[in-house]
Amino acid sequence: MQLDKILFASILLMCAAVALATLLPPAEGAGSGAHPELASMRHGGSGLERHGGRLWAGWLFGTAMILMFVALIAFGARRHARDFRGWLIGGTAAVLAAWTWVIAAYRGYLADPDPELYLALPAPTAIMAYVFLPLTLIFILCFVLGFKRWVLSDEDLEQYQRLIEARRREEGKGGS
Amino acid sequence: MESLRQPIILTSVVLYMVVCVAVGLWAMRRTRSARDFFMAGRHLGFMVTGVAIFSSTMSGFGFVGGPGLIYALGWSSVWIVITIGFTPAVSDFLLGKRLRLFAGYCDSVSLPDVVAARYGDEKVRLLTAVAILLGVLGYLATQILAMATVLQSILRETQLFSEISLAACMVVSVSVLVFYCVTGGIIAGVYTDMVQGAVMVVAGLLVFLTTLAVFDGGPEAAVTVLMRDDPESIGPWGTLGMIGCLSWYFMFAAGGAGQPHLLTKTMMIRDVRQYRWVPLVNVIGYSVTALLWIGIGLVMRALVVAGKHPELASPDAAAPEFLQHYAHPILAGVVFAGLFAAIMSTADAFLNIGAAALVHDIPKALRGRSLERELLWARTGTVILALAAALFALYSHYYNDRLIALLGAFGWGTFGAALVPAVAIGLNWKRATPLAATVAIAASLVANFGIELTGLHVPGGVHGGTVALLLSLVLFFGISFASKPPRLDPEIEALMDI
Repeated sequence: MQLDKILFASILLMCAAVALATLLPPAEGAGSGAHPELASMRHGGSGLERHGGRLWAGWLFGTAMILMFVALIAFGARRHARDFRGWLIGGTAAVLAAWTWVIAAYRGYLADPDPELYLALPAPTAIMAYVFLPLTLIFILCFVLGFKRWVLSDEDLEQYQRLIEARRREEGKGGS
Repeated sequence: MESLRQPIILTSVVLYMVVCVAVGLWAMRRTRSARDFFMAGRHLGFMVTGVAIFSSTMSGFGFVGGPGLIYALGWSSVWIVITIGFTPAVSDFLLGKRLRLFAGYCDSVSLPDVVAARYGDEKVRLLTAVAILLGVLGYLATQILAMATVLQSILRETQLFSEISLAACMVVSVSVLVFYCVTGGIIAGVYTDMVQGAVMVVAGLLVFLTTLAVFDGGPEAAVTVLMRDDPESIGPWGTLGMIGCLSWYFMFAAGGAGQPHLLTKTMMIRDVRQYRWVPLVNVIGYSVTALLWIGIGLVMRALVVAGKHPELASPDAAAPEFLQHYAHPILAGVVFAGLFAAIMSTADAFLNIGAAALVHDIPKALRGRSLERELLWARTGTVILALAAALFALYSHYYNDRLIALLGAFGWGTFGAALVPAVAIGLNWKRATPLAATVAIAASLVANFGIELTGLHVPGGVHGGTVALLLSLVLFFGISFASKPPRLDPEIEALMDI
């Protein structure tokens, strides 16, 4: 299947995830509101009521989003995407695993009356900050370290120089 | 030392403004053409490019709005910060080399120039330029208002200027901005960005280290207070909720590939091979600066919840209150200078691309050629745009803040929805048609304005910008697939094959 169709499919998947999020009925009595004592702040309310039955929809939303981002990255590297495939698949799997871990840890957080802290954050927030975020940097590392292989090779640059020279010759002819 | 807090803050801000003026004078000697004014002669190294990109991204919002959001909503807005993982990757794989190759080949001085070359259609250029101009006006007005407000809050702490008006503060701050933007164009813009970026990184790091020590018992004690008060506030979704956070993440990560003030800097790098290092510089600079956003927001929320600091009058007071009460006076001075730096580094980028749209792209789209004496018009256009934005900001502040909210909503989301399909996808996809690009841009403008004008709340907590971006992408792909494959100029096709 061509990359443009894969990218379009990922966009449609994202649309479906958004539609699902908008169509799910809101939980009764849930939702954030004003803080009971401090008017300048919001209060999260009951996480269990707000998210308890909807984590799967949120997981789908996040998954569709990550797949679309990876499809965009692959689209930009398309000429070299075949070589890049292993890193793309591996990176995507790692990020999706971390994303799923955030959801699973959050489910545990909802049920835990006295959650532990990990480097000053509760488990799901810690996983988001210390695992999910660093893993998303994989693709930037691919760009930096794999620039010549997957973005702009020496042959690409020579081709570009030939195009520039051909254009200059054309402009020179037009001026004379 | 405490009695010197206000003089130190004021001195830091004045010193920073003097540096901006000096850079403007230095850059003026190097600005001899419209190409220099808009593209820095395409002579930038990777460090300048990377720092310019991150400092233009981290506007005053990161220093004031960001901490305010965490104070008000808890962890929710961190989802905007952590897009630093995907945003540069998506944007740079799609456009890092592509834009620079196009700009060099076509000798483009603006993003609409590149778009016109790609599609061979002046209508797309015109629509792109109009979208940029509208967005710039709104963004610039909010930045100008922010600068004036901050300056007023600093000056009113002094005896001499205790009654100074907002308008007077606007005159002072806009004068400095306009001076270096008019004299030195984007050369002044990117080299002041270097100074601004350095100040922002130092400020971000020092403030974050300070926040770790402010709360008795350290960060763990602060987080425990937040957890006991409201476990959701320090959970991964904060008080905004899961879908709200994820739609912010989507809009900021995907929309990054459509921000004209950032993409234009991509076109200025001297050697396209050096672009490989730009995302690294961008990520490091942004990440360090963002620590201030998270640190101040969390610590102020914890201090207020614990009753150790009075409740804030508004969330946006989180950063100023922290600096006034908990930061060493010298650090407070550095951070206030950093705040000005953050605002100005974004404002100068918008002024420059707005001037390009006004005096280069719109005339070229309508007349078929640029204006004569384009450098003079570029400088004139910069002044006109700054004045228009300043007047708009003042009018909106005193009479109708709905207006600034309307064009302020023309922010990241609208640029993303308008330009990601036509530019980020279009430069990589030969199948994209001019009609698809035109419809996508127009639809994004209608969608974003429509959502803001009608006050429509998308159910489920989905941000309106997410809907607009997806709509424009679907239209772009759908129309392109449904149309006959376009016949490309052979030179453009060869360029897209690289």
